[in-house]
Amino acid sequence: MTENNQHEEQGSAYGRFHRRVLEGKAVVFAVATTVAISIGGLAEIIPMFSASLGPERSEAVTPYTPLEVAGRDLYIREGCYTCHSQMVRPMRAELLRYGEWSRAWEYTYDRPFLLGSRRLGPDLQRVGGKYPDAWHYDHMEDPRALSPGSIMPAYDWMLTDRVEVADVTASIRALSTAGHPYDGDSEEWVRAEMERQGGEIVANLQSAGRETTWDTEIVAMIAYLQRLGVEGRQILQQQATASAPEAEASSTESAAAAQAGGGDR
Amino acid sequence: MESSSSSVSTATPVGVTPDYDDRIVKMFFTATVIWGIVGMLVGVIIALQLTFWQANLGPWLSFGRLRPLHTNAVIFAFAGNVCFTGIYHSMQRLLKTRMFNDTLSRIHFWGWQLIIVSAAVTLPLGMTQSKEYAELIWPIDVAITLVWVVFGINFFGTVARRKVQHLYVAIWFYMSFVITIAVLHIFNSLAIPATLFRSYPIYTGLTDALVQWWYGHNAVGFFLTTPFLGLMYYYLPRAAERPVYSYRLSIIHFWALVFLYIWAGPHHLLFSALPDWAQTLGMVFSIMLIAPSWGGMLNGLLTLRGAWDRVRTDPVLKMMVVAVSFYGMSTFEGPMMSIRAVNGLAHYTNWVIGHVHSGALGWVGMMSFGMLYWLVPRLYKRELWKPQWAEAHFWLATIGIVLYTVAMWAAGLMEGLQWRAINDAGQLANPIFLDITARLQPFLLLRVVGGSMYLVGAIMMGINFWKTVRGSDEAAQTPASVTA
Amino acid sequence: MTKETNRLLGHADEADGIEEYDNPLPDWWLGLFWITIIWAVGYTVHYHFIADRSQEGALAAELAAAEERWPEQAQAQLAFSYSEEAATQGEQVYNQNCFPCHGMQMEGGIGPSFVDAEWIHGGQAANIVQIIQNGVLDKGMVAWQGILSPEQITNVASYVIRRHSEATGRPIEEILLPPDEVGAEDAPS
Repeated sequence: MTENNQHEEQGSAYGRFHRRVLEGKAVVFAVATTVAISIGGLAEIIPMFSASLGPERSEAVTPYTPLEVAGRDLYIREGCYTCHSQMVRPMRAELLRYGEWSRAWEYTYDRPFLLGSRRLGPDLQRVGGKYPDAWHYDHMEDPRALSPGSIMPAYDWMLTDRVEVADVTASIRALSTAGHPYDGDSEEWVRAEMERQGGEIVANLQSAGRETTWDTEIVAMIAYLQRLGVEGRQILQQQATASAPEAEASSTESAAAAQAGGGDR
Repeated sequence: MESSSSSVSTATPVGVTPDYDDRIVKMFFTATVIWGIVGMLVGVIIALQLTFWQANLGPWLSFGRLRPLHTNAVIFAFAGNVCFTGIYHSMQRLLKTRMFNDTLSRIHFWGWQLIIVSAAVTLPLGMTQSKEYAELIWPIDVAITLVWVVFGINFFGTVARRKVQHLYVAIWFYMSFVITIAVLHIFNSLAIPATLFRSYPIYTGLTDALVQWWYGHNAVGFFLTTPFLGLMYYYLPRAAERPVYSYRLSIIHFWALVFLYIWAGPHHLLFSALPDWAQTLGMVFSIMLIAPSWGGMLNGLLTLRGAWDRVRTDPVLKMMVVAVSFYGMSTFEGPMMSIRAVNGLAHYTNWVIGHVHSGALGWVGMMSFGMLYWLVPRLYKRELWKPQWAEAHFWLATIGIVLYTVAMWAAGLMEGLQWRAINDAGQLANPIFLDITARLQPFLLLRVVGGSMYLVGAIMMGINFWKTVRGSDEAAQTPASVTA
Repeated sequence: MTKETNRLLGHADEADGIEEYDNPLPDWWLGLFWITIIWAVGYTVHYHFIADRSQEGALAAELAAAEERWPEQAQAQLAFSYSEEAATQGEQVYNQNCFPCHGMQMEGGIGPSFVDAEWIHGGQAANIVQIIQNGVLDKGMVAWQGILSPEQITNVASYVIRRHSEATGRPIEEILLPPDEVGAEDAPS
């Protein structure tokens, strides 16, 4: 023991500094650790709020309607994001399968983000408009009726369970607080919006022989799914048309790919 | 080759048991075993649901709701309680003092268990924030913050009244755990409540995604890595009765690890629309993490020099060797998967699930089991009921991990390649997604087998400990060999 | 690891009896650390400042290479020709892909019926092939080009034409006429 202590006393500066100052004073150690773990986070997160360094923004994007918010909340409730991504990567194979790759500004009102981390099922970023409303209705009731071999669970309770307008109103108010521009946040306004949009979906379903009402969960879910990626695709097409004369080869093929958009079930 | 004294002196002499609070250690240990089995069982169930969709039972037990329950249960309930077991046990001894405040210890224990029970109720009900490993609704997030503050006060209070001056390396790692988890949890959970059960984050889009993966990646780093390295630095040399290989290595790899780890989060968002510069940072910092991670592995493995004969026979050391080896393997695999080109293939596939589980089952799980098999006989002063069951547990778990990871590698590579395959006409070779899904089924089934073996091992451990703790009085005689 | 001293630091009393050696960092480990750091700096500088790369740029290059290798002809109109054999083979394609929306008997459901006299997007063979290839985005009709091979599209279109003819009595020869040679009542609306 004595021999060892001697060793330390003779030891280099690193020994004395570490053992007695840094590792001997808990406050110093804790502060040093806090500094060490803070730098990386600060360096990466703060620039996200800068216009030039952060994710690309667009003024053309609109927030989710009350019915779509209700559907999005169901998407979250059921954990759809555990199997489906909403992020088409900038690779040719993904463009062929899913359509246009995902731009940062498309997620302007995605709160929380739902990029997903796993594709047990196909990506859903561009699923909007790909199938008719009645397809989604039947698919939620029994995925295998439309997609033989699918491993997706059935969500038949969505056909009967109802969305509470008061609940959606609370969400709209919170999202308004977060800065999402809405024309109203009263329960009457939310109900009117939901009835309007839900009515269109109900009419579509009716013409295909499926009877439901505007306040069922399935209608909210369809509203959300049919919205996914549509606005982004339209904005990208407008951009492509606007810059058509000097369009690069890539944008035309991208647009074609957006049209093709794969056929995953 | 060896010099000086080769035996480890025991600073806490037999017979002079200081006034340590071991009751709290026993409480956390009991919770660990129960939640561990529950969490792994849910894992096997959701693995089964991917091969038999009929196993999705109604809304409450469907995959989308159970998957977060599995991850939360194994991370925060199992691994969390393991950490607290080991920290409460080892820090009192390393600092030669009783915990700062027994009431705070109890509030920490019961608060944490209450949080776990709330999670087990709310997640199947579909109450979730959807951010991975941060799914719990905002009132539970508030409770986590409060309980963590209680733990923090108790932890730093104990450090403050320590009877030794120098902080041993295990304490450094524990400290980084206490501090970093608080920072990560608070900033990732900032949200605007809409109802009691629902809230929306203050961040949006890719900023939200970056904050989440800053949190998510470092939950792995500071919940499943640094506290377990701390446990390794205490329990491995104690079990091996060998000196730690290199003090200098522990200094360098500690500081490098805690500084570099935080930056690597964006590797979860490669090829997203996150700005390229942030993606690059995520990638290069992951690569720079290889050596600091391997520093921990080296210090673990080289500490066993002179004890390898015992590694062959002692399940505790065996498990620790496998744990440290899997740590080294997965901390090499992770950086490789962070390279843009590799990530393009691996992302979204089962490979990622395999990678996570080689770390979770291999490193976290085996380290926990090894620690518990060493600790429980000493804590309860009883011989282990059936040491041969511990041996069987080791083999079941090891083979289970290998089956699991191999199945997931194969499945991940297959789907990654088939998603992107292009035929001679320049079109997708496998345009129908479900065709690929069908081809994965044998591997997903093999994963169920591997996971089940791991679960059976854990159940055997639970029974073994139950019998040990509840053993008859004759068995309760304290053999000298297990006196801590 | 030749520089190992295996000299104990002698602080076991401060670590519950755990001793630590004062061994230096293994050279290969330190070398590995330096290599990764140098690589990280080099990669970052190269990617962002020297080669000026970006993921958008990488995609553009990939698309350009694909365009060169598979020029536009891949997207070109399919040379469709009806045959009884193709129609027979098309039944399998239909039963694998089309029935969920258009019905087992082509009676319709989610999508329109093929066994009545009404065609929304034109009732000539060329119209039918075009819709199968490119889909109708607003209506949820999938673009099958890229999913089904040209041969499969030919087969399934033939099968639809034959079943339509059988159900409505409209002769196949008339369906096969080009869209501009038939009356206005059948033209796309």
